[in-house]
Amino acid sequence: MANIRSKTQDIYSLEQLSSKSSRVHALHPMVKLISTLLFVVIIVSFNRYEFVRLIPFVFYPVILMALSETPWSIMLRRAALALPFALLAGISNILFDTDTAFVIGYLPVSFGLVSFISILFRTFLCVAAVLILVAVTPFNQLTNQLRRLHAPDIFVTLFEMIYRYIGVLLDEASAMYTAYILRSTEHKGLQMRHMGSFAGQLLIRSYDRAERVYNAMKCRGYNSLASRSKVIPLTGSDIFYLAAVSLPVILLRVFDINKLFTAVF
Amino acid sequence: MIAVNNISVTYPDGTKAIRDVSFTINDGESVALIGANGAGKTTLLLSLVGVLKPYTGTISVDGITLERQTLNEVRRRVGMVFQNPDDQLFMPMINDDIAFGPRNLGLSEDIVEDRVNSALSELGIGHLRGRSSLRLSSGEKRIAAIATVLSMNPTMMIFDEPTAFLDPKSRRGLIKLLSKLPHGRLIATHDLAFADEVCPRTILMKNGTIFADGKTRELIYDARIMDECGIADTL
Repeated sequence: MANIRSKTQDIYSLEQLSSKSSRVHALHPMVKLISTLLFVVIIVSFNRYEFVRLIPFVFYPVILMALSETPWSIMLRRAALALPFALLAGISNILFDTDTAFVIGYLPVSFGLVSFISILFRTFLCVAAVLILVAVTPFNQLTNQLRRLHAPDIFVTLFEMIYRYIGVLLDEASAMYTAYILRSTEHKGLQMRHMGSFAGQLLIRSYDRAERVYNAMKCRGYNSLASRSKVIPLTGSDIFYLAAVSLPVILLRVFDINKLFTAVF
Repeated sequence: MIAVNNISVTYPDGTKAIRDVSFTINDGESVALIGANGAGKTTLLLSLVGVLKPYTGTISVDGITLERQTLNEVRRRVGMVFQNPDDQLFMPMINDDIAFGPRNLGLSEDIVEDRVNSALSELGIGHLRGRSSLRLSSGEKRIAAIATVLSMNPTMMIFDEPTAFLDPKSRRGLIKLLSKLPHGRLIATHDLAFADEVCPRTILMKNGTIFADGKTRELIYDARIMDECGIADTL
């Protein structure tokens, strides 16, 4: 907790990448949003035992990261944050789905293990796709496009506010914690008996601070219902990108490329 | 020009924060707003940009009366720089913060970019582009907060305690900067020396009312007036 400020910086580091100027960054935000949504929907649509069919989809994050010059280290660190949730969700499959799917040498591999690996892999692919989207598209453009797609305004506004206020909350927590530990030299960290009042104070202070931030936003014309920017027209390269991403993704969903390879070779 | 006529603001708990305040600030005029803590300075500033409601009386900016329908137009013309820059800088990067206002005005990305560039260069903080506000000094944050307002091309700027959190060098830099800006200015401050340097005119507030309105030099060097106003020190 001592380095909350650097953690706050860490949260927004992906978005800071969105100001780069690669070819992927220059694409229309709607095209990037739609291609990411398509990719995620298609990945999720696979049966939980179809792990092998998911493998070719690795092309998507790999190529996009190379084109957008997104650092692997940042991306992998962020993607790793989601893996514990996937582990929790998938671990029961190993325990309850024990029928043998196939045998490697003398080692039987259960359906549960296959689905467990499939869940982990799907989580990684989906999270990587979303992280790349955030790394190549400024946040305000993303929320603008969500509004253009007629996503409920209350949902988009909440999304914007939560994202912005994470920093405010962490900043307040950091200031309070620093003040606390400076007067609590006998103990390491926050004591259990102070947790309640600390959390309560943090809530009140964050609320107060959020009010001031919101006032500052209103003073600069913020109105969640207003259109934030003019419509940007699609260009030829936007349409080419959409086709270049969508077609392979759809084809990989419709046709089992592994079977095709087996049939040909 | 800002014209304030008989403004009164009452908080929901019944506290009368401002009572019958009237004044006018002309284009290009620089006015200090001085008063003890709780005198109503910040309340007055927030009322001028329609953040605090309801109030009685009228506020007009460049002939436009502040009301629900004109709120956006008034806020485009009057830029407010908050006391704590952290309240104003909430985007991941400084340039996003500076672009926030122009984007809300519905300007195209090209014009937004022009506005960001000109605000950065006018304030001499081009090196802060792409930086996070979390890593800036208080002085840099203060200037960046001013840039977030400048990018909206306001005709009038209001400042709440602009010298708070600043070291002497940053404070000096701010004085130079504010002296260069052509906008009309209303600056709430406790810093009498700052007011003396930047604002030829001062409005003194006491208990939510205007106690005196006149030349800065005549007011802030008058021990009796300053004492009656609840500000013990004079220059």
